[in-house]
Amino acid sequence: MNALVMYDRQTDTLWSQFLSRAVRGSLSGTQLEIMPSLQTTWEQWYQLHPDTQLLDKGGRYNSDSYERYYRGGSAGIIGESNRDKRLPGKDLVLGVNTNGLVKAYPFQVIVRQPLINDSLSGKQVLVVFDPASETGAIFDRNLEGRILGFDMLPDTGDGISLMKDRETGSTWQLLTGRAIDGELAEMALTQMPSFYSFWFAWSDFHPKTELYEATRSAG
Amino acid sequence: MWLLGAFAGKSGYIIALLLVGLVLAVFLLPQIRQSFLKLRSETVTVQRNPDQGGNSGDAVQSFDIITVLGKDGIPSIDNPRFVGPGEADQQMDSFKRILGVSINGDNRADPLNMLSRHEIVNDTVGSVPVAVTW
Repeated sequence: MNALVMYDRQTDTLWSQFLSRAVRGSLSGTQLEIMPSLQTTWEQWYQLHPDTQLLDKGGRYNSDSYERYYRGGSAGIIGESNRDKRLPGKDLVLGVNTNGLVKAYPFQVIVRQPLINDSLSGKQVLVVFDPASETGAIFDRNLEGRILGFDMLPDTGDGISLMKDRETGSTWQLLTGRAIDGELAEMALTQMPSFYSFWFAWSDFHPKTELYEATRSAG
Repeated sequence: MWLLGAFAGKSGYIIALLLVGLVLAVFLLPQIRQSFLKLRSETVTVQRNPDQGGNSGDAVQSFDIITVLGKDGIPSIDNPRFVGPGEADQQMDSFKRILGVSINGDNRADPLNMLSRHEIVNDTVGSVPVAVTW
């Protein structure tokens, strides 16, 4: 298994990033809350959040030291411990872990099916993917007790992908889950924590993970 | 074996053997590296939430923690400084990837190339203390 282990300076406890849990030390067993995030291009993020701040790099570091690793075949530092042949190890997945259900959505599938109304052990979720910026996100589609179903809207050409809900026809931003027009304007879906991960790491930590399959019908 | 021919004589054989050893070492390097890393590993046992059930994994899992770099071998960013959107757009190429966090209306982007070098940014976003990890 390959993933960062970090320590805290207050108690010297060791924490597994992938499990978001303390694994050795006085805080062992403590779970950290995972905050939702988006892994996307600067252009896409700036369009979605024109008021954003950017971590100052002070003119340093233009390249990413892992660029060859992202594209190459090697898996982490120690290689793969449990080879799961359902996908090539370096394929990217969007992973979710909710209500005890662990599921991975492969990028190669969601790039062709960029909006999925899915259900995870009774929880109604929405999985979205913006192919242009290769950005995925997962939302809870229960809005204050009302389950919404979604469909993609045609590309407007302004760089922000949109969707509409089947119940009210309101228009929503695909990647922020925020309604921008219609009856539900200003409402927002709750984004769920999801993991952007290589398949080898996801399947190492979650050997029993479900895998979303392309053959299932959309929506 | 043109190589041996080229190094005819006693010292030639020694050089040839050294070369063969070098080639073998290159091929075996991943294995050597792995067993070396295992020497500095320790195993921890992690109890999964018993009430979660489902397919989230066995109730108890064992993991090896391997020390590749010691504490602060990769320095975290502890007092991050940010620039506003205008300056940011000047600094950043449009296609460069970032990890974006939005909490309580506070939107922040950490470039992946910065995260690759530091792995962790200890920050406060929308009054919530967070660690952005990569």
